[in-house]
Amino acid sequence: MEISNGVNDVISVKNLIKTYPLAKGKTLNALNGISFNVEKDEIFGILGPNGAGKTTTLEIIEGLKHQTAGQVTVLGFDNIRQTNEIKKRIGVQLQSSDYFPHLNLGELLDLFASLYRQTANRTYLLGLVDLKEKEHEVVKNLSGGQKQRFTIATSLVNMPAILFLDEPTTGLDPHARREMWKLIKNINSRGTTIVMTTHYMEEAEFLCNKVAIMDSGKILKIAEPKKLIEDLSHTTQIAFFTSEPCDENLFKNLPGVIKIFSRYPKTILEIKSLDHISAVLNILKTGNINFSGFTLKTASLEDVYLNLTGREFGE
Amino acid sequence: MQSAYQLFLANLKIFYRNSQGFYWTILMPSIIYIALSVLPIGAFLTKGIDYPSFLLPGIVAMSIMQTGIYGLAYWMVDLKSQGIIKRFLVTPIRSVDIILGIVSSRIIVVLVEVLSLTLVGVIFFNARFAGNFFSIFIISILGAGIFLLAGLLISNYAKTYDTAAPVTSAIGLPLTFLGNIFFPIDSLPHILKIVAKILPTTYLADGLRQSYLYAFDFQKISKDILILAVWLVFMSGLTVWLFKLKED
Repeated sequence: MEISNGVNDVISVKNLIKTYPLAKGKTLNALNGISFNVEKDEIFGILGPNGAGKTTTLEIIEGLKHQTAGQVTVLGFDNIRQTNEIKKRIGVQLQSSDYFPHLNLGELLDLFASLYRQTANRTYLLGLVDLKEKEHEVVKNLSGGQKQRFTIATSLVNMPAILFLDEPTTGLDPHARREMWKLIKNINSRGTTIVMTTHYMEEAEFLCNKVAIMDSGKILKIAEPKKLIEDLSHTTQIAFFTSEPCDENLFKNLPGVIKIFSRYPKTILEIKSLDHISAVLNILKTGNINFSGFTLKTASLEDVYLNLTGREFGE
Repeated sequence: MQSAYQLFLANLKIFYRNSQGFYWTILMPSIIYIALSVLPIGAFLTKGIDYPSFLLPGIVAMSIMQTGIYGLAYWMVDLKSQGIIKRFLVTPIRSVDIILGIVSSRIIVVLVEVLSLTLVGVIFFNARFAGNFFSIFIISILGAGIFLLAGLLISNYAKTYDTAAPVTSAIGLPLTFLGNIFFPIDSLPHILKIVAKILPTTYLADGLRQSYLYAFDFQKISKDILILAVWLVFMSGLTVWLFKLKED
């Protein structure tokens, strides 16, 4: 499952188990022996539905919680014995947290920097998250996207080597989400390793160099998003409507066609790659088939998830 | 300590910028004092001392108690429910520094309360003030320590206002009405007098009253200081034993 050689690892998680006691002597297994490594300078995504164990995993790595069993090292430090050394070197954006009221953004940055015994570079941090003009505003006057960007700024006050983002775009509108993606890429390009959780497939696909797909406290697969998608046999799906019933045999001997599904008026073909589209179009043209609504859908992480778990994401 | 100091300053800023907090902590005790001083109730209980003079140290004791039990407990519950404590806990700041920063700012608030109430009493009601600043300071700090620790402990077990409110009321009401604040405990029925003699507000109000009304006499306040110190040691022990700064 691990796809790292260990040389550049900044985080190493081995056989991590976390159980919570429940009433009547029962226990809840939040993490069932997960293992993964995060390499320097990458954006590592942990993908999974609510309750998969994503936040628990992050909180153990960040030093907020202790594991029941297993080993975690961050930048070479043990997460239980050297928690403070880790905290000094990481930045954390929690899934939901508010700020002291009545303090403006500049003052809040100063306060957070003082927690690391440092001085905040207000201009740099607010400039980075495009909130320079809001320095003297209080958080409650910010929009959702601005507040989330400010949260990122507070998690960068100590210039961390690793930044943890727990569902950084949840609740944001599509525009604010795209802005956040740009910001995350920008921070990563400046040499900060990023570990993020998300339940948005397209976010993981766009941002992450490596993705761990989690479900029910287990890691189902870890790989580059592209590799995960390529590993699926049905990488591209073509669909179109015909004016008359379409004969499946027309496509049967075409190279690259994996599956044919035709039920008038719709026909769906699964092809190995985009290179085989022209052959399909050619058959439609030469066979004088009157078609409409031609759509092309490449496999996504959503399909990977479906393939791994046997159910739709979020079900 | 640098982190604790910055948290202390931030909490003070929040306090003086928050008009609601200012109202409930500074203005409300003064309004209660003014209202009760204008009305002739209680005057017959106070053995020749005019009621505004008797009441002033009592109200000062009450507001010290409320700042800890109500003010700090609710503030901590607020910080926890909004994830602010959790946000601090992912930084290298020590839990003890978070507590020091928050609690020490409340001690300043207590001292501002004592000063403002005293000024209201002396200026508007010509309340007696013997000028024992030092003993008032020491007794106020002891009282603030006891009740701020009580507020911390309440916040340890209450996650929301809904769970904190009944606990603060259950503790705050007997401390207020049996604790030598509005009338002397001699006027209480026997059984309640026994209860009153255990309560820290009884000794806080008495120590302040001796310091406000009479010339400095250590003999008169030594028992109050000793019992308050015992309470402070007890609350400190309880806090060390039971309090844990939790993320939520």
